[in-house]
Amino acid sequence: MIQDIGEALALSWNNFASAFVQFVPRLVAATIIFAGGLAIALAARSGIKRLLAWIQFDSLSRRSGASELLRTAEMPAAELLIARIVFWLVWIGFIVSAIDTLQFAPFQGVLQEFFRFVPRLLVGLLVLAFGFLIGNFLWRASLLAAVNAGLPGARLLSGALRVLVIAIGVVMALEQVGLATAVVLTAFAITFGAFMLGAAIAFGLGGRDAAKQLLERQRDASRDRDSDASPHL
Amino acid sequence: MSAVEHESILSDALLRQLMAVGQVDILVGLPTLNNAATIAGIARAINSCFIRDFPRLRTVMINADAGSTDGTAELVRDASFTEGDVVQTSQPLRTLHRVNAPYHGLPGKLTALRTIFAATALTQAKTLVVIDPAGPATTPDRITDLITPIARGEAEFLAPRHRRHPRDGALVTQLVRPLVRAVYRVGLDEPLGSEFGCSGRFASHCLDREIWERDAARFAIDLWLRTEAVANHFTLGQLWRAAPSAATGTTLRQVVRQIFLSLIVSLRAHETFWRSGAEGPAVRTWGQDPGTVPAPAEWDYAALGQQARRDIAEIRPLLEEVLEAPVLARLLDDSPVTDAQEDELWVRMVYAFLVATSQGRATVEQLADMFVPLYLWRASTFMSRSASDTPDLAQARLDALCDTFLRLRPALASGWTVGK
Amino acid sequence: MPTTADLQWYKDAVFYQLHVKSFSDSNGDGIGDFPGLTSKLDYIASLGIKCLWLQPMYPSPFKDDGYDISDYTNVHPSYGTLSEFQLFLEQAHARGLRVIIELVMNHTSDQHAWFAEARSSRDNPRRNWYVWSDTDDRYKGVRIIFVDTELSNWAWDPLSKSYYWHRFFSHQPDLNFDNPEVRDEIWTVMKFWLDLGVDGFRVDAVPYLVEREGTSCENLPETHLVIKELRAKLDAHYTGKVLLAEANMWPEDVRPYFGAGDEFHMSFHFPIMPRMFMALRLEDRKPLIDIIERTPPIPDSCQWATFLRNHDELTLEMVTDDERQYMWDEYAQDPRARINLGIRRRLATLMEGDRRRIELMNGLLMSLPGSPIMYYGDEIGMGDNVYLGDRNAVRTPMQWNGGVNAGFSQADPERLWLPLVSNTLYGYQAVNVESQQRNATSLLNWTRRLIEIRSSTPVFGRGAIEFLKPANHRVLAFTRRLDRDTVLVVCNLAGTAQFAELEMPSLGGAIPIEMFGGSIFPRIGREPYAMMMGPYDFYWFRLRWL
Repeated sequence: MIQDIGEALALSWNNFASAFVQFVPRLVAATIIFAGGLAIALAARSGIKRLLAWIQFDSLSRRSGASELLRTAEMPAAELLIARIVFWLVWIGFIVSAIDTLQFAPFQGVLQEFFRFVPRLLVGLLVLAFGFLIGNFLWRASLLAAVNAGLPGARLLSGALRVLVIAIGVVMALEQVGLATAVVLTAFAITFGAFMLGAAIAFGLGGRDAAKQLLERQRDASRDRDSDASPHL
Repeated sequence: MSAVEHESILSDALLRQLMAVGQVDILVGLPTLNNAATIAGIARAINSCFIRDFPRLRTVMINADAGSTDGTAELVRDASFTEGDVVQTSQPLRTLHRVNAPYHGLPGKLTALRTIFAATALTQAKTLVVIDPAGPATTPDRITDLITPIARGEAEFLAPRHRRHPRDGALVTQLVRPLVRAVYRVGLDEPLGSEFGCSGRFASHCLDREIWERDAARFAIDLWLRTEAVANHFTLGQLWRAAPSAATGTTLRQVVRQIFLSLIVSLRAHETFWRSGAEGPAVRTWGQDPGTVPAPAEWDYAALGQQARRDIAEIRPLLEEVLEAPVLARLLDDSPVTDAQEDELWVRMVYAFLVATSQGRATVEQLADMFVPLYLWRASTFMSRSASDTPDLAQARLDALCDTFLRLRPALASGWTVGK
Repeated sequence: MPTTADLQWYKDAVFYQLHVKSFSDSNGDGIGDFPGLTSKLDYIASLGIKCLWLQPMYPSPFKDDGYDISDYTNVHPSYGTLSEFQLFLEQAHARGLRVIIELVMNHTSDQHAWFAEARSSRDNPRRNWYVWSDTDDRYKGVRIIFVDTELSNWAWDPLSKSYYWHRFFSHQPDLNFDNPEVRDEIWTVMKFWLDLGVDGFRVDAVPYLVEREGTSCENLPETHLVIKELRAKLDAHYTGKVLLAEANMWPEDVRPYFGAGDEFHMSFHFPIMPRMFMALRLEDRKPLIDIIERTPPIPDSCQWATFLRNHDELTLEMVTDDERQYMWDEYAQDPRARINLGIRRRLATLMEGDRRRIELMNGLLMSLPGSPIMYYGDEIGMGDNVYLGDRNAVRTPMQWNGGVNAGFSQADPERLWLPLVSNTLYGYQAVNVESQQRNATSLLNWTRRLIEIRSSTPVFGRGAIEFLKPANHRVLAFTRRLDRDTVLVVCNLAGTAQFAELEMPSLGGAIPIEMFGGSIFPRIGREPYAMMMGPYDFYWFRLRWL
């Protein structure tokens, strides 16, 4: 009996030791990957910061309006943000790889999932960036056009246009990333539709007289403003 | 380059006419676009000028039509030169040539002018005069006055100037004139205008420049010709004339925009010259100063000023990208300021916008659009401040403004980014 | 800081060759001199000339008109003093004229102090400065250049009882360029004149510097090494100087003398010259096109020198025997006009005084590739005197006016070093500078205008050439192109009116503007371009795309 217990204990110890012996290299490897990944992620962050400085990304983000938006949201500057995103993406990639190395059953396949997710995330970020750029471009152009055409509330109109374009960009980015796609799309559709319907009703029914006066004022104002240039030459 | 690849600005028909004309001493160019009402009289005046004042010289009149649809080109071609002409006591000594150049390639004033310049080079004309068919009444004397200084070699570019009331032509007096004077360091009174005289050498020089390919050239060419003459040290002259008609056929905002773009075209083309700080050539004046002129008809500058202030408020976020904070703050501030402070504010804004075009902070077209309400603000401000001025006092304001442009010139030179 | 264009001034310049002794005499001894030449610099500058080439002005016994030099670092007393030469140089430079002089380095006069020493004994330190032999059968088979006067390339020296080598006259012993002392001394000579301010050298008789057994003793690799060495020294110490080679050979044989831009800057293109005369006589462009198409490309910094006539005979070395006979038959029916392998006549007499032909030949000279060299007197159409010995036929005094001695000298006519040309056709009373200055349509004024137009564009000096070959072989047509500039040249080589159609698809859209009068010609299109030309007419068109 004691012998059986001893054998059971020995077997158990052997199994444990064997499992431990198999686990330790994986643990060491995972640690190396974790630490090495941190170093690489830091280097990538630094490299991206330098690259963005070299291509004068700060002026691009300023012109696209992203700087202003980030400042309003009390977020760091665009180039810093991108550098941080790159850092975390790289390091998370290595963390996931380290976890994968440990071969914990619940975490099997996480690495593959992660690498499937990253490209979508990048495309999503790109779509978002383009949304900002286009939105800002349209805001600027429409503001100037509206001012020179004498439309009242030019700033409001152009601002609304910018928000709309950026919102569309956000929705497209979220859809690309695959984050609660159905919810986001539905919510956007409902909101956008409701807004448009409300604006149509307000302007067409409730504001009919006001709209008429506005247009008449607009016509008179433009006639005055766009009158003969000859006194100026 | 094969015949297929090269697109000439000269049609074969025009070339044949020029071959027949051969070498000339004087070429009068008539760029036209729907000028049927006046063109026959102008053609007769040119002809009379040739016969009466330059009988021994080889002359030619070239009508470069920019695509008229009212029969202008045909009227020039068929104009009879006996009705109502200067009485002639003898037949002209030489064959009088009249060349018709319908538009070839792209229609428009720029092509017409370029055709005239090309004809000048090919005929080796020593003197070129370009007549504005929409200008004040063309008489043989007017044309002779434009020709003579060039033909005598006393000037290579002759720009008409006219006596303005100080409260007339704010776009010229508040912007173009003082800016050109300060930046190019030249005493040119009227930097704009479609009419001018120049030497054949100047015309050949301009023909080889890249300006003709630029999109903005169609309205920038008048200013560019004058600044090109300054920047390349051609002898300059001015000639007193009656005021031309300022009818433009476009809206005020469009005109302001075009003027702004014209200034950019010139500044970019001559940045080496004006950044060096070199003095432009001295400018001699011919003709008789008409003296005082009546005050111009009043226009509703108050309403324009109010609209301008509203527009400025609307585009404030855009202005923040161009103007320094103190300048913008002063612009938006309604509290009263002195004339000198107002002038300085205006000049700083002008230079800031010009610098912004060179730095690419926004497209030139966007900056031009942003500039419009600023000009409207300035024009209305000047008009209201000088409302009760005598002409001399109003003129003193203009002189002070010129000085301010000159004094703050370093702001443009130091901020300008070369080669953009 | 001089630009590359400034340093390569020789590519744009029109040169003027003259002999000091024939140009203007200031002291009444019948021999032209430097003060006389200085007094005529305004005239030369007025032609539009940019560089003078002076023939040898060194001390010399004058058995070869100065090409037998007895002192390399002095001026012959008949021409003046060294300071008078310096003054001339300063005055020339002040008028924008450069000056190149002769460097006769292949041989000296037998009166030169070096040769006197060399022949004095076999142990003399300068013995090896010349090429000696105990027998005359070394370098067998090497051709004799002056066939009319020499029987051998060896001459016996009775003093040192040995033979010395001479490729030219026997009184012109060849220097030994295998001896580094000789090469150093030649550099010393060059430095002497360069330090005075001369702008370069026309190097005489270049191919013959070095001899080797079993070769033709011409164009040997060792010769090129000598040239490279001198050129390297020149470049190390001076800028903007030019070395012009006299190498009368086929163009592909001349090509090595440019090296890789490290030997001569310029070299005469001898074979073009007789072919211009041939083309005119044949009324056929073929000889010209053949020789130019045969000419190899040369380094960018190098340039051909072209000419119609010079101080020598119109050399017919670089033609076939048939061609030579044709030229003699057509241009030198008088046997007195023939000498060595050439014709000793001036341009005007060769053209039989025909103004149109003279103009055409000058037009060709100025428009073909290379820098043209005008021979003094040809700008007024001076004639020659074949009754004078050797090549003196074409070296007669300059005809300035119709007065005493044609304004050349105050000396008695009998004292002039050569008599003036005084026949009724080309005599100084009929052909002189003064009368042609006063005539707006004279050949002189026409030549000025020609040079002025040529100098108005760098295309002629630096542009590439491309021949158009219309069916009418009497019409020579070609383009000269440099960057965006294109000039079209059309010449009627015939003495009768001609019509030709030029196919110019690559020039489509261009408007030809005739350069002398500025007339506009019809635009070049896809169809052949019709040209009608009078006898010996030529046109230069500047092409503009507008």
